[in-house]
Amino acid sequence: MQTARRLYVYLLSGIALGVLVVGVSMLLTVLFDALGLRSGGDVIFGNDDATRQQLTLASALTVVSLPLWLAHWVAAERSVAISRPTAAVERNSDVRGLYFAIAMSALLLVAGLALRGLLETAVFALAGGTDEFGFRNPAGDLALFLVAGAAWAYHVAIRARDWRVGPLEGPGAHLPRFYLYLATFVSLLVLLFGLTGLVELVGRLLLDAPAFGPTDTGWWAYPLATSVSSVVVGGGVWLGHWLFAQRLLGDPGWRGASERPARLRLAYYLIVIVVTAAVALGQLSSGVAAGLRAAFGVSEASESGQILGLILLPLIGAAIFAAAWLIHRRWLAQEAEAVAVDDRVRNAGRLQEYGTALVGLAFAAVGVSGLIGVVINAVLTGGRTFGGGDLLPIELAANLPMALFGAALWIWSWGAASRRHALAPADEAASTSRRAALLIVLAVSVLAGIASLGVILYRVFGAAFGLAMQGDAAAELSRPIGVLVVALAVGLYHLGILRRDQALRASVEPEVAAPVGVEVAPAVEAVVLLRLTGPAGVDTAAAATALRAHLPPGYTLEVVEE
Amino acid sequence: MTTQEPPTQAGRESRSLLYIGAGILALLLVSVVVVLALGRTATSDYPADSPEGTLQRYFAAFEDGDYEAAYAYFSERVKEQMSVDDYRRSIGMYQGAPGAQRVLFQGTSGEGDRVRVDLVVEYFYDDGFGGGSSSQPRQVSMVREDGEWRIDDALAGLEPAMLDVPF
Repeated sequence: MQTARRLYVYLLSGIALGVLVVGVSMLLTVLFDALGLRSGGDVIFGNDDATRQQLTLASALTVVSLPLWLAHWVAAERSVAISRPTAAVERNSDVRGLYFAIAMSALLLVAGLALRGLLETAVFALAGGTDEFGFRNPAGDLALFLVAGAAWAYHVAIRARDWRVGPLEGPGAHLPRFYLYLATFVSLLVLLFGLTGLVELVGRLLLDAPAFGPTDTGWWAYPLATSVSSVVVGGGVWLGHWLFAQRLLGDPGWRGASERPARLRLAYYLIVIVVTAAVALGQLSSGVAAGLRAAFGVSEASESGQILGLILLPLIGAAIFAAAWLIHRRWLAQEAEAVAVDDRVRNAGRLQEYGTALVGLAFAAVGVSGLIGVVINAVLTGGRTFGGGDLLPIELAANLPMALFGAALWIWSWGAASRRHALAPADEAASTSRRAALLIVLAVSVLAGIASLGVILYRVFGAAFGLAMQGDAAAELSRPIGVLVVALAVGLYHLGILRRDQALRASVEPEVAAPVGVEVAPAVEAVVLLRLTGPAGVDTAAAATALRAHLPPGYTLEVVEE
Repeated sequence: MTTQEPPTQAGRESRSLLYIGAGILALLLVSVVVVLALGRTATSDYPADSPEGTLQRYFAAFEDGDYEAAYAYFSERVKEQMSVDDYRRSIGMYQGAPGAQRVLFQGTSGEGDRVRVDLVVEYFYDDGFGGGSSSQPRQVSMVREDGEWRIDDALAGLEPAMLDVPF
């Protein structure tokens, strides 16, 4: 019953808030437009009627949504008032947690995009760029930033008040934590891509390798504006959220105790490590591929500056993402040492090793399957080449660095995991990270193998049934054959490891569970029934929630009867 | 207990990784040698007075950017339809000669002064993750004029020329 009420209240609050933000930001846009904060383009159609229409719509949206939002939000806030006996339950409710996670994410996204647009316009104008087509809307961006930013700040303040009142746990704590790490991750990527763009721009200017052709003067204004705005907004949001997360981690009270064992934080590290490693490897492969194309005489660029740009600029991007990858690896290891929670050090090590190994394996598998395909294609069709000899060297250049660097990364990471496995095989075989990594590889191998086999059989059956097939059979089948070979090899290798691990687990478990000749009772959790009493009218649920926050790891407390 | 055999286990794992690494390195070397030896230089040269040879020389001139020479390989009928400026314009619409493509010979059909040459054009697209290739069949009509084979289709490279586009 309460859940249905909460769903209604927070859903209506969220919808009304969204409409209110749109309405008020439209009102402010009209105001800023009137004050002269217009984009570069002149008004070529429409007149005051357009402004009046906008004003009418904005007023209607605001007038409708404001009372709706106030009515529902006041109801939501009243339910968490400290004087209410059920306030603690409400503050910890999953619906309230979900509402804050969605509202703060959406508001931050809108405010961040608006600020990025605003900064982009400013930098573009400072760099001498002209917005000939009136694509930019500084008045709208400023209005949206102010309104969405204010709404986001309000929600942050409300959430901070909830935290100050008492412990938060369960979905009520997890869901807003999801927001925190999602915002940190997305803003980190915006920052890193912005930095890469900025460094690439500097490189292009130094190498005299314009992005849009040698005759295009002032080409750098747009890349400069996008990169600078991404760095400022991404950097600001990332720094703010990351510092906040660090402060939570170091908090001596219940907030720190709740944050330190959080799996979401580990998941954040894992995703950052995997994504930054993948982008770094991709950029590295791209730069080396450009170098190989130049070496094979099939580069798409003819001038030395352009060729150098194609080689060096991705390498610089790779260095930026590799730095982020290494920094996060280090932070995770240091944090695992500092936070004495369960098996955090070993888990952190496993996550790094298996996560990075998966990235390396993905690149290596794609590269090696491409190389096998290129070799088959060259052998089977080389004698029938009629013209245009650039294709196979270009394919070779694209796949060779992926195979080389992917294999190197996989061997390095998998080697570390293998050493860990050799030291404590049973522990490692039982680890969730290892099993998850092996099953992911197995699943992808099976899917890739089936897909490639399907393509091959389609062609074979088509030929058998006399179907007129388009294209050259050897050229069309070379890549699927490469994929099938690699999928088989990778799948069988990992299946073998998975089966050995299973056998190891099976051989170890009986030793622990039942020594020969001794009948051992199954492990039973120790249970003590406690009785909680208090003065009449007190909130026993809140007291139970507060008690739960102080339990040692492994303990649970549940309300059996009210 | 299996935990008492870490050196053997570690050694076996390291050896298998070493073999895999060596296998991949060997594949890299083989692929470089095979592709550079067969993939580029094994272009079949057809006699200049054959329909295939004419088409091959037309395509070579097109790839070299010598559009005047390439245009000379068209039949009189095509030249009446498409001026050399039309030809250049059509090529411009296709962004010039594409670099990442390869043409494979499939066969020639027909007899006498009119034949059809069947080709497959293989394209490479770079998606940033190894890329991939796709192929398209192409049929080119050839006609013999004054004892020499000429291309009887209005082409821009091997694509159909865009003659009716108002530019």
